[in-house]
Amino acid sequence: MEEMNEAAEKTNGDYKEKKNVGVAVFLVLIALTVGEFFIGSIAVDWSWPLWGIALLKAALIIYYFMHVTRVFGMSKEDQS
Amino acid sequence: MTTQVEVQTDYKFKTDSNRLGLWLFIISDAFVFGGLLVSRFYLFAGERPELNQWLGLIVTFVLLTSSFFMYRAETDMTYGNVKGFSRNILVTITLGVLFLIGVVGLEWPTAPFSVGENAMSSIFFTMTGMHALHVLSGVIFLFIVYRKGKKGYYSQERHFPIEAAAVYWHFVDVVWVFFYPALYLMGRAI
Repeated sequence: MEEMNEAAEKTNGDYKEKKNVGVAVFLVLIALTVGEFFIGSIAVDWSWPLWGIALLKAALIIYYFMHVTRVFGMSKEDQS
Repeated sequence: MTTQVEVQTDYKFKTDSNRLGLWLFIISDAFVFGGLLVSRFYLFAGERPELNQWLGLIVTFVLLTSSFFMYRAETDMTYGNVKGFSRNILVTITLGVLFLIGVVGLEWPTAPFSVGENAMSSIFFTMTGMHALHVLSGVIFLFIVYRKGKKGYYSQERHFPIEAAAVYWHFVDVVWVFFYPALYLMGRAI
């Protein structure tokens, strides 16, 4: 019974952690978008920072939201 | 007689194969959008069309937010929260439709050129049109998954179609992450 409770607690903890990761990534994406909007408005000929921000945003989405590691069997779910 | 372990192993094998196929499709589709992006810079390296900046920013927020809710929907199903899945996927669908209204319904009619007027208008409508078509197919895909989820087709252990819909939806978001600065921010407005 105690083991079952522990397992349920661990699952709940993982669930909350995953949701928190989603919120954190989302907030970073929004902040980066606001940043690129201002860079684009102020520095017209300055495109390299915009490429850098776009690449960073894409990397965050691919890693955290698309779970690219699942393809290589490296995610926690695959190991369990 | 097939044992439970064999059934589970068979499902895992199928899921791994399907996942690989899905990602190969995503990579091949990425080349199409990559080609469009290269065309945009080949034709107009230091220039961009004069578009509504605030509308561009708003539709970008809408798509990013939809990706966030899709992530929540998939996470909910992974942990057996079917109600949460249904709620979050509905929000994702709504935001996807809002994005389409923003681009096709508001941006297109107010663009400073018409379809086929010049090379810039052609590349603008091809890029946004191709992307909008992917958003539309994504919305349809999500709706199918939502309906099936409501009918109980998926479980905590078996929900690969939800994962596929989520990966496809996030991919559409990744494409816009590059299209937004390329169309709205980089270069001088002409």
